[in-house]
Amino acid sequence: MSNVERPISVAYVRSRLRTVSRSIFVLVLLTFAGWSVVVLELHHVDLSGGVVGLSFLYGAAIPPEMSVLRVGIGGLVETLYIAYLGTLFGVMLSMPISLLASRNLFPRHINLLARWMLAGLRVLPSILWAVIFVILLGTGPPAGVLAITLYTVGFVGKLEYESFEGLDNEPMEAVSALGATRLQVLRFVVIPQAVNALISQSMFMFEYNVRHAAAIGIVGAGGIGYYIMAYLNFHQFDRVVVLLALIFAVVIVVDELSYHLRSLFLGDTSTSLST
Amino acid sequence: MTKSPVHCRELAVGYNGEAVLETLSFTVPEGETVSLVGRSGCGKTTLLKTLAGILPPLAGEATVLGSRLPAAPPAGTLGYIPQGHGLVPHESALTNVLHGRLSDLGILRSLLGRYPKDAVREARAAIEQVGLAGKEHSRVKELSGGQQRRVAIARAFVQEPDLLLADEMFSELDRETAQSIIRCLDSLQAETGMAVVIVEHNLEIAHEISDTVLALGEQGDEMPTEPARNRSSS
Repeated sequence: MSNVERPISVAYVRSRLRTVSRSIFVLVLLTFAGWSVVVLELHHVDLSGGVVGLSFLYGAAIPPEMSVLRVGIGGLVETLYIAYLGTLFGVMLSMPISLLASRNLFPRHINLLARWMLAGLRVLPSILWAVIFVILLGTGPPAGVLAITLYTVGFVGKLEYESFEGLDNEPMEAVSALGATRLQVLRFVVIPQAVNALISQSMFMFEYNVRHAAAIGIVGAGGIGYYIMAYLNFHQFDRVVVLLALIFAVVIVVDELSYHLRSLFLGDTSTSLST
Repeated sequence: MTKSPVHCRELAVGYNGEAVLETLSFTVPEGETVSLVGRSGCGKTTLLKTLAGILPPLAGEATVLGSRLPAAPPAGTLGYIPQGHGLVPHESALTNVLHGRLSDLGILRSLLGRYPKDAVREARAAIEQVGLAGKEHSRVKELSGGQQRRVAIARAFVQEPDLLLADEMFSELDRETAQSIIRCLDSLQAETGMAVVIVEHNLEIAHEISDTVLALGEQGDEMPTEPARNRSSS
């Protein structure tokens, strides 16, 4: 091996700087995690009290009171409607905003405006949006649908623009070079290329919204959450556990549905690692 | 006097303000083929991307189909085959080839994704021309590399462009298929007077198909040109 010294290239220095900055970044992350544990005093938490509470909860919830099933299914169907409409409207509204927010598709100043809009919608969690709409519209499902819609726009919009930015640029460049307009590039290249991620994100969002639509019922925005809150207030944990099991079952079904829908649109989604 | 679809003078091309090639001056006359050859990384693809309007020129001037870069030439007049095919993988071969006819669509048809019947007929013919008959409805991601290359070629051919910019058009193709594509290219050039600028690593093919071979060198080097064209006129 030759011991002749070679001049240090700019590329070599940049590569070393990247390695060092990554190490510093990981170190900062770990330091901040340690600091957070100290500030929150997590190291002083006594878990034995929780075990006692858990045994009390087990005694109160088992056996479950199955007579609540009919009421639960009614509430769950309303929750599903709220989650479905909120997700559908949210995904439809988020799509144009997320396209505008993508750095590889539109100029920087338009990206910033679109990103601020999406970030603004994410500031409040869906339950606080629900409180606002219950105040504005009164209790019931319309407040729930609007709350879920707005939160979905902010949340899924961010996932969408990150997907658009991760796309292979070559098909866009090729079709643009052929003379396609920006609208045509979005319609025929960007969205079809991202369809895998978009379906996956929409299904993830629906699954997420089913759980949140259940929670927003607690503040009067309709759905199964109303019943959960009522039974919790009366310490009827044997009924609450049935309603929670219903939500759990629906989340599992939505997850399966998501897989099959992806397969339907995109063919076989399995990989050699999954078989 | 012969028209020149490509005319470059003292052109510099590169990425992020850093020139890869400088002081390029050349002309591509109508109906002629110019091959760009040179070592990997010498800037052939960068030059082609600049001519395609994907990268802005860093200095000098270039006129492509009457438009001075970075202004785009009239829609549908420029065909482009990128190095990595540039296809939408989840879409069918036919849909990808139809992307070559997007300039025929208005806003409504674009939103609905409806192509005129003659565009669909011509796209099918282009697919057949490149030897992919029966594969129209196969998703691109299910095709082999060579078949994907031919879909990209069909997409450019279906436009019948005035200028074709092709990056390693014959890579991934077996000799027989490459010869068949060369015959298609010849016939299209004879019919339409299309000019071709092609990046080609295979010097044998470069000499076979080209009127001129441009050897691109290191930054600042002279760019020698070499007349070629030993192909038989068909």
